[in-house]
Amino acid sequence: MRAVVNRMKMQFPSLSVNEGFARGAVSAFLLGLDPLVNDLADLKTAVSEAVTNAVVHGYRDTVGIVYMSAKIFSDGSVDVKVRDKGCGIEDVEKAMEPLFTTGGEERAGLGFAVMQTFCDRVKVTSAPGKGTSVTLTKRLSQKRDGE
Amino acid sequence: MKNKAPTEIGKKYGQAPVYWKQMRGLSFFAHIFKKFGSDTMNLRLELKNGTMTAALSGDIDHHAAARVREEIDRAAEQVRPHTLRMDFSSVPFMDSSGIGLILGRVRLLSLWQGGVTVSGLSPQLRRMAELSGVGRLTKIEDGNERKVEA
Ligand SMILES: Nc1ncnc2c1ncn2[C@@H]1O[C@H](COP(=O)(O)OP(=O)(O)OP(=O)(O)O)[C@@H](O)[C@H]1O
Ligand SMILES: [Mg+2]
Repeated sequence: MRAVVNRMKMQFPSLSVNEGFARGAVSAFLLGLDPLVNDLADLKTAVSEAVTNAVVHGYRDTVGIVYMSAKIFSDGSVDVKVRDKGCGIEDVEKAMEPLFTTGGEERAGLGFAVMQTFCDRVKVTSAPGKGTSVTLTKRLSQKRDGE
Repeated sequence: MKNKAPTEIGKKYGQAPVYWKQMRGLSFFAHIFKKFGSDTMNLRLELKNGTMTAALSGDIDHHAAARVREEIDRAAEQVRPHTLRMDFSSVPFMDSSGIGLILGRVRLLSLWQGGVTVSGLSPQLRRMAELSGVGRLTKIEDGNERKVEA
């Protein structure tokens, strides 16, 4: 069974300066699990992608609130949920294709591809005009001696 | 200095803009070699034999990339270097915004047939680069010269 052993919730305005704060907060929350450095780095990268999407796309021309929560489960896996009440995504499947972007020249269209590569599972729900929710799931291996 | 009452010294500093105006013709050098404060601008620019090196530091995410991009472009458009070397050896973290930063500079340099070289990638950054295929458009040098732990 996947029982929740710890959880946290936070919210912050969609200012780009909070992208670093968000991944730092997740990282601090998970440090007690003593995770492998690489696993934690992967999850941090995925969180950065999801939060940046909320900032850059969800709240494109405005500043809104980004909601982030995390759960640690008894089996050592972690859920991180990033939610915005921004513009939403018309076609989620298309948005998740590598290299697809509506962000113009400076965006690579790789955010979702990175989330999928660096996590075990990525769940996206979105409604145009209502917002987007991204749940990242990753099992974190515990550090053993010498790692 | 700015907030100080106009003392003798204050007046002297007040003349500085005139001095800078006279320097204008040469000022892009001053601009390019300027060292930026570490937490506001994660960038140091150097020019040598037509190669411009952009030494990045700190986390390169969307927030940092936006600022770094402006500074690199302003200098590169003036100098038009044949190579832009982007040095990531002091970058502990990068997400896809960093890939966008590299690809955007490839596009810019191609305007005058210049190219981009990427160096100093940590294993984590290297994974990101591999995933993006950015290696097809840039030269990626070995990452043995890392200055910070990732
Ligand atoms: N929270 C969101 N709200 C609205 N649209 C989104 C959101 N997240 C993603 N999208 C849409 O999905 C597209 C793909 O997102 P993805 O993160 O894969 O690439 P990107 O953000 O465009 O580029 P990169 O992440 O490489 O900088 C975006 O261009 C945007 O159209
Ligand atoms: Mg993105």
